[in-house]
Amino acid sequence: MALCIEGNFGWESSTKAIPVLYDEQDVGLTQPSSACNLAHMSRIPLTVAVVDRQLCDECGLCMPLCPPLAIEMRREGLLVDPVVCTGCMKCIDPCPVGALSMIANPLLLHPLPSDPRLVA
Amino acid sequence: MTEERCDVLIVGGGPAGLIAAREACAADPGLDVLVLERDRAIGAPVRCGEGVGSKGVGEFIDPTNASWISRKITRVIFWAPDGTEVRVAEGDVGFILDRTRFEPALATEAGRVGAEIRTGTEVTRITRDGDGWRATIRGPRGDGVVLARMIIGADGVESMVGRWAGLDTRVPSRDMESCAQYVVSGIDFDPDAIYLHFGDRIAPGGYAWVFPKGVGIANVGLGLVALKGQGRPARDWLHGYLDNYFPTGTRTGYTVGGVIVHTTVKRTVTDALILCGDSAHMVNPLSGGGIVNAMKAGRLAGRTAADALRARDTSAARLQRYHDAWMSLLGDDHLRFYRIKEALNKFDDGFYNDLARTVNGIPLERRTLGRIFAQALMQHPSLLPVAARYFV
Repeated sequence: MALCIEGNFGWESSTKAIPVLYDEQDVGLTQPSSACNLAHMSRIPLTVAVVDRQLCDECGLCMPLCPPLAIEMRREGLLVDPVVCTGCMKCIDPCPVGALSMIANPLLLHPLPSDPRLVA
Repeated sequence: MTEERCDVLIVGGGPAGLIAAREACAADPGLDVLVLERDRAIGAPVRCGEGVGSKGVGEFIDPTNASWISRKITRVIFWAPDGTEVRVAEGDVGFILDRTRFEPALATEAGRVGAEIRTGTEVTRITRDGDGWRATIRGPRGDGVVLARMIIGADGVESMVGRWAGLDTRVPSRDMESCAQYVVSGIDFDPDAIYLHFGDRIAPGGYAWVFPKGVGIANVGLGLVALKGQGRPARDWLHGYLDNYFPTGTRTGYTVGGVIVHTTVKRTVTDALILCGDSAHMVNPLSGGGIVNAMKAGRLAGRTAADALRARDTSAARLQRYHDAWMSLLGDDHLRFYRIKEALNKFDDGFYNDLARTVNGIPLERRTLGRIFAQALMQHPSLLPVAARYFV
């Protein structure tokens, strides 16, 4: 399952949209300028929240709890934008079914590809 | 991609949105009012304990022999943490709704006065378009665009309309109740009473409830503040509760959800847009009740929208009268209830056990919530500053 996420850097003032490919099995990232990303590497959270869609009941409780508004409800289910998530963990315990947990930040796990591509 | 126009686009077909639709149409029958509901059915899935006060609901829809009432309630029973039972308020307390019928009844009324209601259709984004809004939508008819002169956001706890419009609808975690509920059948309780069960080992920062749907069948749920929940999700707390108190019951369905026990968001309006109901945090922060509040806000929103469109002025400055009207109707009360909630949160189980025993010394016919509160004050003078702000 591949999703194209329109995200922006939650940890900086820029609102430039950066297309990101995110997949549960294979996480990769594309963006126009990897230099921009590197510049902000130091502020990238080590872990980010992720939704287990099998447990999630789509009640939306977590959404207003998220300070940078990284959680969106989509037709296909709830989604945490790993680019916007700051790893603050405010959404984790309140989930009534324990569907949210922290994982290693996919942005750090996977090297940036040299040739940017947009995946839909 | 289809493009259509309407005067008022209402996002969310719950109590707030449906009453807003009805009232906007009633105020101006010439208005084109469209309600979009993401779920496939109005009223389902139920994410609610379904309890309401009888007076509040009666303001909006006639409850006489209504099919949407599961049970009439004539008693409230509090359980202290140690199990001490306190009975109060004999009389017409309220109803337990059947929300799978209640919302369709509201929708029928909205439809009768001319509102169009579309289910299975979600709004994926709104952006400013001239004096109004452009909403991209997705539903069984495919993707589309709605150009609306005004939007009423009634899209619940998870509201996206507010954030798209630049209104701050975020909630601090201490003001979010994490709730879980089962419909439990085959259990023994007073079917004319609602039960509210307090205690740090029951539901820290909240309470557990038994709301009868009929004889032997009830919504049994709890809400707690996760910060006090020792890392266990609400549904685990509920499993523990049911195992302890209703071990023989059959669990025929469950639901989970969040109740925002905060105060109304600072800004409920912006240009050509109004937020109402849960999306604007219009829940009673003490009880967690939000259905009647949502309908009251929906009524204000619908009428304000019709009024603004008639005057051809949908600016935030004009819509501010909606916010002001809400604050004087209930919003200011919620500020006071919030302070009481904060004060009560400081007390431990011992306080509630003592209070329950003292209150049981008051004869049943004289036992009102006011007198219970007075007793609490005598036991804990530290509540006095709160009480002074509440009553003054």
